[in-house]
Amino acid sequence: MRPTSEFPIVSCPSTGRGRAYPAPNRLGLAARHSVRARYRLRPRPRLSAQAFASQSVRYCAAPAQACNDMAPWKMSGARARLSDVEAELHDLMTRGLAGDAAAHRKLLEVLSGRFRVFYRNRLRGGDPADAEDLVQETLLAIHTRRDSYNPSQPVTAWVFAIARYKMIDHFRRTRTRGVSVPVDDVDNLFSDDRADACDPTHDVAALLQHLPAKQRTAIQLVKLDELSVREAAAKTGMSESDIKVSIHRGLKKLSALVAREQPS
Amino acid sequence: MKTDNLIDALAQDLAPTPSRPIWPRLLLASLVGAALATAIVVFGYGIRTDFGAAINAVLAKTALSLAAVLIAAPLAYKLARPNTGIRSWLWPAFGLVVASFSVAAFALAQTAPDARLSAWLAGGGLPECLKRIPVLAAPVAIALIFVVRGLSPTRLTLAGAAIGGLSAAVGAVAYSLFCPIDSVAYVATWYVAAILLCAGIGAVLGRWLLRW
Repeated sequence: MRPTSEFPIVSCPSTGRGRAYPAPNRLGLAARHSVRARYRLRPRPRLSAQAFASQSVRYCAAPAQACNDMAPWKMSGARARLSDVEAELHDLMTRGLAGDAAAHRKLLEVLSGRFRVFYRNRLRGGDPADAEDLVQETLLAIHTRRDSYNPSQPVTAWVFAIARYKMIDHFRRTRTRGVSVPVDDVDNLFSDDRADACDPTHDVAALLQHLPAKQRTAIQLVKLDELSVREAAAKTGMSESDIKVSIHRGLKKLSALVAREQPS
Repeated sequence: MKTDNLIDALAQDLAPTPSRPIWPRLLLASLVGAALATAIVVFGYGIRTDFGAAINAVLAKTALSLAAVLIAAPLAYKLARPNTGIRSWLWPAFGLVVASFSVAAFALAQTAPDARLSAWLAGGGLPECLKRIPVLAAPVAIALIFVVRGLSPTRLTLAGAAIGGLSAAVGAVAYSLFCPIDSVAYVATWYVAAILLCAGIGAVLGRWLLRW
């Protein structure tokens, strides 16, 4: 009697988008009746119209137009499909709670696909890595908090209530902390030459490399090594006025460089 | 970390997780909080001196507070976990507020016009119970928040409001042992107002205190 299809929820063949959780009942009695008829022979959670309508998970704005004609609630027998999903997940969840590792893994695998769609649709325009992070966070929450699952309730509604919570939590965090930078893309985030970024001499030395040798030595000796102009002149063999002019020109060029690097 | 690896790691060494009912934990937290609130009333405020003579008034106030407890408890119970439909459970709360305020208005209409203000405010100024019921609600709320955080609520503002309301109702039960004012208009207005105030505080604090 078990449906052969492993995960029969509808998804658009072109974009892969689909409904991951129950939409409110917009179908007539006939569809519900057919569900009952189909599942009369096996135990499944009671999914009355009220149970669906009162779930805190609400379905989102319509997906891309291309998928609309594939939307489950527009198809006849759509509730049967949703109930297929629910029955499958409920079965996996119950077996997982009983200690069946394979069922638990299967549940998490199936859900990770659903969550990926859920989060990508909602973080559209955002970083896909954020969506993946959220998928992982939600899987983790579902795993660690699975004792809070009430077996008399639909699994779908329970997991998407957690997914929705994680998403709100994500928005709350990113709003206060600003944008996030994916760590994978920053090659030398923790390399040594970044470690002393707060050391000003490092920056100055780097900037000095842009100057001609004469200006560089003049600034190095007088401004950084704190020699007098006369000592610097004696050391380099340049005249004192030559030193002063070099310093002047060098500093001017340096400030131009800094201004170009950090437009204020 | 790849999601597949995470799933592998999570599915390893899976221990059976029996789903336990959550109401014993919530009840225990409420009882611990109620005991603390009662202790504050008995040793801090002192039980009213004419307790025996005014037993009917005390019982009426306790009954009102217990009704509020019974109305707020299912809301807190539902909101403590993910996946919550509470709309049908909100009607009793609305009913209690409306009924209580109507009773207060009716009682005020029955009193002589010049006695109304004193019957309503009983002593003038900010009614004492608006200050004391939140104090008594605090131990209950702390115990409940501690428990509910472990139950992964997903609608924090609503859950906070329910916890605030429930703990204020429990606090009001304890407060009715002390409360020296028996005016119907006073009790019907300010007890419910204090509970609503705590629900509001809970709603504001819920999203910080209940995060998990």
